[in-house]
Amino acid sequence: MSEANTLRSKRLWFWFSISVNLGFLGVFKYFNFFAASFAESMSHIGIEVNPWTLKVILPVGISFYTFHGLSYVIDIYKERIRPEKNFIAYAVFVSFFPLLVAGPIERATHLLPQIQQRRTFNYTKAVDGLRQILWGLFKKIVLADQCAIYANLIFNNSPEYSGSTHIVGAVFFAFQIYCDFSGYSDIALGTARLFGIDLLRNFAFPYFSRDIAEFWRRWHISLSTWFRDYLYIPLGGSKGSTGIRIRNILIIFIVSGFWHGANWTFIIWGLLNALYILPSILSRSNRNNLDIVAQGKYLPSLKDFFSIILTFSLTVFAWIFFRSESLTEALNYISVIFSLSIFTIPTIKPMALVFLLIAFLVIEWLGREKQYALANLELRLPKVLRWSVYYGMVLIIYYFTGSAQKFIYFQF
Amino acid sequence: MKRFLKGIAIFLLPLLIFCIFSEILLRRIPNDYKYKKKYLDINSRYISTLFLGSSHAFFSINPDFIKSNSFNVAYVSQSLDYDLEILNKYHDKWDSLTCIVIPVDYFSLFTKLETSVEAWRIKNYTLYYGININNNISYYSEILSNNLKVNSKRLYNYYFRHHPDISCSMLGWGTDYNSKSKKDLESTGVSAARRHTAADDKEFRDNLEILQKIIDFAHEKNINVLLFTSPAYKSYVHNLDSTQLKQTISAVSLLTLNNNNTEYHNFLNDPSFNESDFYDADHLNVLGAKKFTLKIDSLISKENGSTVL
Repeated sequence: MSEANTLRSKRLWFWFSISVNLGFLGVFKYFNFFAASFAESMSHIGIEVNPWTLKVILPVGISFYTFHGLSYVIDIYKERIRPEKNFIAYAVFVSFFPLLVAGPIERATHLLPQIQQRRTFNYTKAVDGLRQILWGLFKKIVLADQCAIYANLIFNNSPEYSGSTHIVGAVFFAFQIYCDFSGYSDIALGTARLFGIDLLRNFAFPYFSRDIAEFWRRWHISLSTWFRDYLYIPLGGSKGSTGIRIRNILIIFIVSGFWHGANWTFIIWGLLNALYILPSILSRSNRNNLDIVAQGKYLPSLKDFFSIILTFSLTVFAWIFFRSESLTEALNYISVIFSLSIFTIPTIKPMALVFLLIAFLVIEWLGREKQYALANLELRLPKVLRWSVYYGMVLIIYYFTGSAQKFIYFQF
Repeated sequence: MKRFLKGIAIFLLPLLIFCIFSEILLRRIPNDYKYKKKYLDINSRYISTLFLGSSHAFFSINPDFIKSNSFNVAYVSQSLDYDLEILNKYHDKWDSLTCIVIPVDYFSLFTKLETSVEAWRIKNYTLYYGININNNISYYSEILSNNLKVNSKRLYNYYFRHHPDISCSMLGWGTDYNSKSKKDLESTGVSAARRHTAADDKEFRDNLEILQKIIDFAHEKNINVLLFTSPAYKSYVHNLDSTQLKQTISAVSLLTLNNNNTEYHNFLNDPSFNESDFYDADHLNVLGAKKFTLKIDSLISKENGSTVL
């Protein structure tokens, strides 16, 4: 593509490459969805269609490495980088194992230069990497997997529980998905750091966000910035008429939902987030909260506190669609929440887990100005205390290990 | 790099010591597997009736009520492959064995210990029976098979409260399911039936072959094989998948037709077992076990009266 003599042939190669990348994703991930949706829509007008469907296993992480590969092609086309001539360096970029199955979705402009340069062992980086891996394991095994037990119990047996218990289930799922995915990202980032490579940060304490725009700057950062750079800005971003701005927001959030899976639940989840964020985009207040909440202070202001609670509640509500198997299931779940049984005491209330989550939130709050909650611990705690924390974490991980759940984002 | 590796070694050393110490202490705790292995080591030559199988046999058959010299080697989630391995382990020591009794229940041909949620129990066969049919490293260690929550409880119970992990009688019968501590028969029926219904029949052919190997083993040594389907409460029976049940029963019936040393008896809907005989919907309690064992005993006596062709 970079050696094409004319703009026309360059474009041809570009679209060919994009089509191949998206083609694999489309066939493996979306073919059956479109076939089933087509058959269903035909059945509404009285035509019975039995579409041919693929009986294949979805390759693990296909959405991640497709986007990873797309960024390379687009950056070459846009002449932000030069094509990599060294096959080994390119192969490492494409298949660097820590990020292969669930990201972060890297950019060639960020990762390739690190692969190309000669790396030497860096003690501080390696120690920090191990600490981040330990923190990731803690989040996954202790918090995400324990929350999953209760979230699954409530979501899978929804009719048996009250509205208040449904809220507990949705909150547990919110923590499950955060600790699961950010835990994986911590493990990936820490592992890469052992090799002297810094990957893109993927989470920045999203549940302390004061509005939805801030949430999306802090949640799955590598994907949201990907959509921003390769879809939202080329579409015109927040420039242009109100109609165009609304269109652009709807497009990126619906595509983002669709990226997660071929199911209407993900599309509605994306749409809901678009609706959440639209008022701030239209009133141009989406960049009000660019700083870290209560920076340099121990506690947030009352206004910030209530903003955080409101943002978290909106996010939890949207997660119900993300977690449900179908739209009907999600709507049934929500209808129970908004019934009179919301005023009863939840029947599932694992207090030990609740205390663990509170302790986790305190640790995250204290570390919110760092890359991850335990970063730079050597500057904050003396060695004896630091090592006690590590040993404590290892023992707690061992205490809870065994109820292993798959990483949620492996399915994407 | 040297500093980094040294730091890791120093950090890991106390953890390693903790792990080794815990492993030793855990292995010292007396348990059912150790007991059964020791019993077989000493007495296998004198056993004339051997009960194999899963929890259904472990809790349902009390050898105290069997006239012949018998032992219950069944255990929770013990699948047919482990039954065969136990038989093979003492293959030249079954001098007095005349009858092998094995339950073939709704799930028996569709599951294996290694693919079930109880797979952590495999370490007991590896560590205490010396049976290695799974190479997963975690099954060679107590501390890798269970988490700290479980292991610390076991250590506390034995070393501080002096309660060993023994839950069987001298002849191997499971004594935990007494008639006073009964579970809800309706809900356990639904949940057990759901748990025992297989998602596919991937293990079916393999399990059937294993059962045939057990029968062949018995045939070689002039031993009778008594297959049975355990009694269960109606809440369990009504929630079973009819295809899986039919597949099981017809496969076992065919086995009995093709092997003249084998008999099959289906007690699944036996009306002589009522609510008071069950601990939960698919396990008998002490009273039910006595009633059932006496039935089995009469069948054994009858079968031992006939000769193997």
